[in-house]
Amino acid sequence: MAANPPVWREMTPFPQPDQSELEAELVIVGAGPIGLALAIDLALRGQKVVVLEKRSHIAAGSRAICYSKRSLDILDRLGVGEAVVERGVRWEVGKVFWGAVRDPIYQFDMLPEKQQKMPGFVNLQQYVLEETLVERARQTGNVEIRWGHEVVGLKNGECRALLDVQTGQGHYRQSAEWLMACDGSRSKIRRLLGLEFDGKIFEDNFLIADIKMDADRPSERWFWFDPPFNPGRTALLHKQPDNVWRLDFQLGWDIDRDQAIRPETIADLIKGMLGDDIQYDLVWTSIYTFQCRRMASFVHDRVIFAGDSAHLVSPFGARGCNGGFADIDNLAWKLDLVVKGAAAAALLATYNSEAVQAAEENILNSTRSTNFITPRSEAAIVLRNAVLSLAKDNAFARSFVNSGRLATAVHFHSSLLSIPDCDDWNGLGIAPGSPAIDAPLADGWLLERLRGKFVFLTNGSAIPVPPQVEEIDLAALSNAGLAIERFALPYGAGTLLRPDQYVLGRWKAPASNDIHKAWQLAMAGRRP
Amino acid sequence: MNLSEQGNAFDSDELYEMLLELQSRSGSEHWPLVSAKLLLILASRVEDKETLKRVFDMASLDDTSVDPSIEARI
Repeated sequence: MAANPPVWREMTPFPQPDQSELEAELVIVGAGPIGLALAIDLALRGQKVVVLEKRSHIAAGSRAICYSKRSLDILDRLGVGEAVVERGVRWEVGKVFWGAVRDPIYQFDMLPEKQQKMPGFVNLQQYVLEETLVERARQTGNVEIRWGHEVVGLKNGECRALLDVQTGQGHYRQSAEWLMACDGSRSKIRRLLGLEFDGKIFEDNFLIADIKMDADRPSERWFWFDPPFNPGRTALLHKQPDNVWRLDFQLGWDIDRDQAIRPETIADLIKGMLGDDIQYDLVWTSIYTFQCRRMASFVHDRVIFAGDSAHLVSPFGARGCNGGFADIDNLAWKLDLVVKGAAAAALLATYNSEAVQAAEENILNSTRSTNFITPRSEAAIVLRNAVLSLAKDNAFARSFVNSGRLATAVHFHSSLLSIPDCDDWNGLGIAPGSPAIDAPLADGWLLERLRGKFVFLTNGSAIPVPPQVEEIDLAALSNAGLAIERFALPYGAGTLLRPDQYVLGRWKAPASNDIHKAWQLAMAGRRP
Repeated sequence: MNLSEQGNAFDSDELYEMLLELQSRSGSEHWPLVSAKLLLILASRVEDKETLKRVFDMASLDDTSVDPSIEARI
């Protein structure tokens, strides 16, 4: 048994710089999945990026494992989507069980709209994803990851942030025009700036046991309410690559943690779930509690927060790492345009408003899931059990069953960057503030064509658009019928997409001025 | 998830949260399962918060002597 191995891959510490003071436009703190993805996104836009990481290794322990369809679309845009899908375990079906009954009371499909390049979900150990992202960052030629460089001091200002950086050989000062804090839930940057992190701590303990076993089981998410092997509580089973399975057991609040983490205690739970004759090896175990918290604002002068440093949720719903990917997807194109002087700094305020809205939505969903999964009063338990007992035979009750609302794309319908419809779309298509949905084309996939640029996606419109906007005419492509149908574009209509594939505006009979004004709105980051 | 097919105006998670809130304010700890089921069936068909509140108030949340024939039909 390997007990909580701390290191997955040793990395070569970055040498102490010759100069005592260094300057950079873009510095990211944290080489976790969010910091690395942001670095790659900026690098692919031509930006030079410095990443400071206090560790000189990729940590073991699988932590995040579930990557949503939207995150996979983002990772594919960054050039690692196919590698992640190939290495990971794809799944789309989740089943919910109650009590000792062997049949599920309810099951759901995470990819109701088929014919998309990326699957509904992929499970992959976080350290494998990080290793993939490190290699991709290296390939860009624009990312310098300084392993073993820890930020120990920070002065934030209107024009730049000044960092004190400690290495194994000494220390130096690093200035950054923009500093992105992607340094996780215990963010040092947040603490150095003395910023609040408000929210709620939930009084419950959960046990993660990643085990290795040979098992002929489907790649599905199985969730139990009140199973016989963990009465009155919940349990979760997920498949990871390399025959590793993630088991998650609710333990309750008042527990002896030393006793609960012992292999013989864990064995009782594992055998209860999988059978007495199960053969397995423990790969990683951990007891966790969770919090739902967020910063009031994610942008503070020259310091921008993304991922767990800005917001925390319960693991129900896989909204942590996926929420972080949504952050950097939203941030990278805006920051790139601001740094290049193409857009006003006000555009970054829209990152703040949209990412805060996404965090609020994730916290709301996460809190509601927690209230369903761990009811706090006798009456709440009765109401929860009433839902579960009705769910098997009554479709309406299934909609109440909440075993974690799994991460899906957030919609920004009321964002400044979402131009309200002037035409009647009858509820069809993809509204402003929603992300594009993939569809097959003759020579690939639609989302492969929407990579990091403004795109005017049209069905036969021939109006001139700004030179910074790429035009894709679906009417001129073969096998684009499903794409036209998903956007509900009648002939002559068009939709303007942001570089993060979100719809900025759409028109049934667009005029050139519509597209120019919409693009100018994005560049200004505010309404005229 | 939408309950609109049931004639309900709320998202199911929003509705469930409102029911928990009403339950918490009522202070009713002794809530028979059958009442909770009835409440869910009725609540999933309401169209506004006022109706939901009336449905909740009318439910016999503290009454454990529910007619067995009703319970059998749920």
